[in-house]
Amino acid sequence: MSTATAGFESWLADLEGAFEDIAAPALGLSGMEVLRRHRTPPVAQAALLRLTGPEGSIQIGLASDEVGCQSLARSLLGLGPDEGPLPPPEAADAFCEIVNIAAGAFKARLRDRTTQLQMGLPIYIHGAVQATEQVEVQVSEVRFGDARAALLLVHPRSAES
Amino acid sequence: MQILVVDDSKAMRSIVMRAVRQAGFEAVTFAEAVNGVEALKVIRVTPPDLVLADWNMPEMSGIELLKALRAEGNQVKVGFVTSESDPAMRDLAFQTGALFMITKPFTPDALKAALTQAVA
Repeated sequence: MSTATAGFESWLADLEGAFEDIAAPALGLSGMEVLRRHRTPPVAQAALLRLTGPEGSIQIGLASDEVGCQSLARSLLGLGPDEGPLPPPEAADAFCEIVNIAAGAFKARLRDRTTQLQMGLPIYIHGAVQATEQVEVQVSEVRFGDARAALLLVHPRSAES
Repeated sequence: MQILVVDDSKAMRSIVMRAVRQAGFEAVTFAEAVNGVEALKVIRVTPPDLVLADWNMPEMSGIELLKALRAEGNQVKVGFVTSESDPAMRDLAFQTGALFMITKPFTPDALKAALTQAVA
């Protein structure tokens, strides 16, 4: 994935675009607003999905607090306000599925610019995704309706960083 | 008509089943499986009229499920409902015998058109 390393900055825009693409058809929301970008992953609940190419892998993710996770999961399932909260495992499952759907949209956006990426399966974590000497994390804080969340792009650290 | 919905996400199985009913197929009964291995077991015991399968699943993917079915001579109708939209994967699905491949998030009209064609 070395040839694509220089382009990871633009990949965050593609990730934002992918989530914007699915906000209406998958979540029934009018769209997604990007609030700010930074490199400090939030301590939160997150769904992560690995995309692997011939030269390496990246991970994309969606993080939010319990309220945001519940809200987005309910949006995916089309639940009304009179329906009670989802049990945590079901909210986590739906949250992961949002990332799975977004991963497809993300992969489609990159299709013409990068080598074939193979999608993995989403995982759900509590805590913060940590940057290391090998990988860095780009964060895009976003808002879906009333729900605040963060989009995560975990990728190999470029030589300059 | 019985439809087997194969997806490792309970949320997505629920969404697919609801969408099938909303597409006008209200008399359908559903069976569920969480991956290809479980689906194979269900299909061998109670053959459904149609299988709606995700592509990426643990243990056995949707395309591996379809290949396994055809390898044992089972010609049950199979369609994919997946977040994958890669042309090469689509080609592989059709070459292996899939009836359709719908990309998530799908519209009710897309599902209805695919199901109508599948059950015709």
